[in-house]
Amino acid sequence: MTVIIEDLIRRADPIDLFGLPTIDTVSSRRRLDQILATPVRTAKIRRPGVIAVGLVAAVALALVVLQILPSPEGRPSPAAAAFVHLSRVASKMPRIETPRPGQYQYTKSVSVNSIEYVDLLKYPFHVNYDEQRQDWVATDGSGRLVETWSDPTFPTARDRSNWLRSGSPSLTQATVVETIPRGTKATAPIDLWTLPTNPTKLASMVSSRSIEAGPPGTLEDFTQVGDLLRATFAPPALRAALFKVASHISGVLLIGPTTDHLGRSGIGLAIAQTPSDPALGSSGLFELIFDPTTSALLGEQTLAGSHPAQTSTSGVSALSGFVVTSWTLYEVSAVVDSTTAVAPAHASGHEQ
Amino acid sequence: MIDQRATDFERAYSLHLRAITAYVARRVPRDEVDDVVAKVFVVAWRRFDEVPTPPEDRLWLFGVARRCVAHHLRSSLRQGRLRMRLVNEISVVQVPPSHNVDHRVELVLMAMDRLKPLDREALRIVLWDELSHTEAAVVMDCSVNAFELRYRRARNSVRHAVENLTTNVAGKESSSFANTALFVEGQAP
Repeated sequence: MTVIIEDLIRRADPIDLFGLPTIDTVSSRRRLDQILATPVRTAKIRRPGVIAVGLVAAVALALVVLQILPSPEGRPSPAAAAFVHLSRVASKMPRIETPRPGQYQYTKSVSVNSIEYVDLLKYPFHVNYDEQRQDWVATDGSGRLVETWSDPTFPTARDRSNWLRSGSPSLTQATVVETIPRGTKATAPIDLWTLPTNPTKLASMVSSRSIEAGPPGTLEDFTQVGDLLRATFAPPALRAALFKVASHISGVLLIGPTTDHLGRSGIGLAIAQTPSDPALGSSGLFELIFDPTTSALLGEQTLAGSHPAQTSTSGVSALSGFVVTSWTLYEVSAVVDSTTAVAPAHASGHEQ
Repeated sequence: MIDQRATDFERAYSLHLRAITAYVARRVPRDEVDDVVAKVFVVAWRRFDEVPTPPEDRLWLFGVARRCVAHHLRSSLRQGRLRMRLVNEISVVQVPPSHNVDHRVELVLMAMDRLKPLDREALRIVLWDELSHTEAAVVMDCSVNAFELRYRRARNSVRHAVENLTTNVAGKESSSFANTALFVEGQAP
């Protein structure tokens, strides 16, 4: 049998075109509605008259942001108070070294990640791995990425059973080593030094998705603030402002003292995710864990429960009945001189 | 004015949703596809004044999708985003060869995994996303000549790798590989 290699590559396309969404599906229509609801960016025009209009628009946007923030009346929520505390801590932290030309920000993290193996014999199964990730990033976005996967385990007996029915294929995952070219336009890293340190301005940029694109909603607000706080080398004033922005996001729960999977103590703050199964009333949380003494983000995790989190009279939410479904911990973050150099844990803003 | 903009955007969204979703789904884990597709169209909506008129809008969207995918995979922010989904937090890999399937397809995937990222992208964008070589060159931001060279190199690498893998496996297992793995030179689309 003779075949053309191109035909064989076409047949290797992993996507089932017939399973792709069309505009007629509910999810596609909902996404379109969400996109159409996002603000439209207007071009910068420098004519004086238009600048005046622009100023009015900026003030209006700020007022809108202030309107969506909770009323200042009454006491702040326990979560807001925790964020304000972290803001104070962050503002007093010394500025951390940032990469100079030829240097890289090195970050080492570990997480639990799940992989679905798809067998053409129709016995899919999931395997959990400990994933260690090392990332070297220069200020222009160039760098190197190394990911290793170890300690495979089956989440359920059914996964193991399907693995056996698939012929017990090897679960070894090759180490991923990737050299990254410098970023341009959309792939360029966010310039943390150009972001405002005024919380109101910063809140308006987060909520208008002008720093990072994304869907509307408080979950995305919380996620984007977390994204920006993940960078330990962000200026202290910016980190302090980000915590203040977070203090105004509604629906955040104070989980209270939390121990991460490396045994480090932190403050847990979480927000509800879309219920994974509304019919069953199940609920999920996305939690960020901060070091209360340095404000560093120690880790993050997702949790699933069969009912919403219970909040005590003290305002701290209890997570009894919840299970951790995934987690990531940040072990090391430091400036190094090459894409092969690593830093010890004590060089990090993450250690305790 | 705004209504017209929304109408025009909805037309583009309807027309290109499947192609862009397929492009993204071929490159990012399944549970992250929706996020990336949404970002592509949010960028398009916010910059709709810059989007070329049809049919050039299709290539423009592919260009945005390519940058969004690259950003998504590359970003140091990815680490946290990967973890924020409660369910379906999965990526997909292929199980090594088993019986009753066309093993050559799996060998092709293995061979493609070994290519340099840009070489692999050259094959995917033409043979899976069905862009012409000229269109692919635009999306990949290179000359058509450069793209042709990259495409041919990638295609030949896969062909040779599959032939070698087939020979090795057939030698060890005396399976049906040996009778099914003769290739002829492919023709450029």
